[in-house]
Formats: sequence, C-alpha cells, structure tokens
Amino acid sequence: MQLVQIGETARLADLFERYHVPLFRYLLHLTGNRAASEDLVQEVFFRVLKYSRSYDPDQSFPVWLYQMARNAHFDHMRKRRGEVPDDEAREIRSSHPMPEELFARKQDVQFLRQALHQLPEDKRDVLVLSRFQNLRYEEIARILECEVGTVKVRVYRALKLLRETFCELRGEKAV
Amino acid sequence: MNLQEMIPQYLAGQLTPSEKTRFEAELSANSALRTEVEQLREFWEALDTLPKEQPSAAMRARFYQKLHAVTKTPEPSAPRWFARWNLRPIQQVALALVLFTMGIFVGRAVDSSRVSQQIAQLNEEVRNMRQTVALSLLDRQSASARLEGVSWGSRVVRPDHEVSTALLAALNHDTNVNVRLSSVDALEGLASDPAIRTALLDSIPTQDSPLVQIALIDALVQIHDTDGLAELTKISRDSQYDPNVRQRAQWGIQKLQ
Repeated sequence: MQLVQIGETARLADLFERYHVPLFRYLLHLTGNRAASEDLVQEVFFRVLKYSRSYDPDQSFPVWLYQMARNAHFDHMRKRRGEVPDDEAREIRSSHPMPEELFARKQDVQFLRQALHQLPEDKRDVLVLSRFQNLRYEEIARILECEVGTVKVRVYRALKLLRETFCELRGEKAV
Repeated sequence: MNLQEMIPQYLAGQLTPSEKTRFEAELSANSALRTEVEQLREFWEALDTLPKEQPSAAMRARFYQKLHAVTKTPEPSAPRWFARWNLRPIQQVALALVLFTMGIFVGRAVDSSRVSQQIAQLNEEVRNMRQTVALSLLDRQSASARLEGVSWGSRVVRPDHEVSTALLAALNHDTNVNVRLSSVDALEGLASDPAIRTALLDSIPTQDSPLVQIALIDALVQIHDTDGLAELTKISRDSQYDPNVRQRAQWGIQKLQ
C-alpha cells in the first residue's frame, strides 16, 4: 500500500490480487447481489487509489480497506433508496450451479443463506466480518469504530438471532 | 463481561490463553453454558457449508482495463497559466491562426517520429489487451477457455509478472492435463527469466501426470537448463516416478551433459 501511496499506481494490482476475493464475498453478504458486489469491489479499489494519501501506514491495511468497502456499500444503498426494490436476497445464487444440490443438506444451506439475509444489516455486517472474513475483534472494532466489548456483544446477539431465524425457517423451535 | 458473549470468540479461537482457561473452567462447572456452547458450535460450523462464492473473470478483466487506463492516462486538466488567459475573440482567432501555421511546419518535421511513436503505443495496447484476455480466460471454469487463455498468454511479448504467475498457477494447479501441457509450452518461451526456469524444475515432482512431467523434462532440455541436472538425476533414480518419466530424465541428462 505504501508503494501505491507514493504514486506507484500499478501496484494496486498486487492489493487487488490479494484482497479482491474476500472483499467480494464480504460485499456479497451485504448486498446479496453478485453484479452489485463486483461493481463495488471495483469502486473500493479505485477509492483506495483516490484516497491513498490519507492512508496512515501505521494503520492496518485490511481495516482501512473494509472501512472503504462499508462506505462504498453505504453510498450504494443510499443511491438505491429511490429505486423500486427488487428483493436482491432472491438474486444471490451460487456461481457454481447449485453445488448444494449434491448434498442431502441442500435445504439447510438454503435456509442458512436465507436466515443470514433476513438479519438486520448491522448484525449481518458484524457477523460476516467475524465469521467469514476471519478478522480479529480488535480489527472489527476499528472498522465499526466501536469498543471491542461492543463487538463481542453484537456478534453473540447476531449469532443467536441467526440461529433462531434458521430454526424458524426449518419449522423448529430454537432452544 | 457476560460469559455467553464470549462464546463466538471462543468458537473462533480468538480468546487469549488466560481468557480461554477461565472460560473453560466455567464451562466445566456450568451446564447451561455448556449446552449453549454446543448448540452454537454446531451452528457456527454449519456456516462453513455456505458456498465460497467467486467473482467472475470479467470483474478481473474490467479492473485491469480500468487500472491500465488510470496508470497510462494523466487526468485531463487545463494548465493554470492557460486558464488565467483572458483573450478577446480577435486575439483568439489570431492565436489560432498562428498555432495552425506553426502546427503545419512542426507537424511535417515530426511526422515520421510520431508515426513510430503511434506504432509503439499501438503495440503496447495490443500487448496489454492480450494480457487482459489471457488473465480473464485463465480464470474461467471451462478447460477449453483456459487452454485458450494459455495460448493468449504465450502470445504476449514481455508479459507482466501477473501473466507469468497465472501461467505458473495453471501449470501447477489446473485440474486439466491439456491446460498444464500448454502452459509448459507457454512458459518455455519465458525461460530467459531464471525464476521461470526454477519454477519449471520445481514443478516436476508436484505433477501427478507422467505426460506433464515428460513435457517439463523436454522443456528443460530445450532451454538447456544445466541447473536441472541434479534434479533429473534424482528423478531417474527414484522408483516412485513412472518408468517412462525416469527414462526421459535419463535422456535429458545425456542431452544436458
């Protein structure tokens, strides 16, 4: 990142190669829409270039990147507010042709996905950062600009709610 | 801190050693906590069954196209001195005529060098376009598309590090033997780079197909990589290799000596 910062813009490719897949998955969890997530990944990397001078080398790069991604997603949602909703959650389809159909638990995978997309956005965000992006709580706290203790509480509550929603979708009662 | 709120951190293996010891001590004494941990653990692990989505190859191609445009094209902006000029229309016409006349003379003088510059620029654009196409195809699900990607990669003059890395990835990790064989040919053309020569040599023991191993030995002989002699000697004596591979390694040793 420091090379990008001093004007070696071509080095953005190295950052892209390293982070574009986890970033895409994070944004896909937030938007539920493949095309929008791909556009947002692109947007985030060019924001990195645009705002490279404001990057503090003492700061963790992934934290800064995820902050950019959240801002880009926020702007995307704000622009979409005036549009007719198209229930994006329904659009999230695997790029692999339904590999879960190969497994007996295909229904559970579908319920899991559905439950995740039914979570309120703030809960989904913190859970995805923790469970799927493998970020440490300290990093998540910096991304969300809150205390580590708050992250702990939010992840726990999000996980509980996700499990309850999943059980409801399965027609069970969460214990 | 509520103990329950530590459960996700415990499941993610993110508790510090002292926190973990304390939590586990509580866990053995507290059956309600134990039950909740077990329920959430099962659920936490079930989240792994969600497919790991991949972005499309087109996204990568679009990114490199845009990056190329950004790195090559300076942002258009009028120079400050020009912006401050406030000319009257008649002065503007006079200036345009002067510049036009100068342009004809200067244009004649520099015409030939400009043509060669344009050709160089076009060559560079073709090179970049080939790289983008190669990278995009190498990322595709279909083996025939990836084969085509290798072919495009081999057509790039002085490929970037990224293309050679993608070709090496195809050689070492592609599930299709034909793609791996094609990438050997493509990489042979880049063997002036010592890192590529080393990578070709290192790839032999990792390959599961004797065909690819033989192609790699042939490539080493073709590029006359005498550094590979020790590895070829090892292969020729190793009974774990296919007899045809060992025989080819023996042949390679003779050629390189």
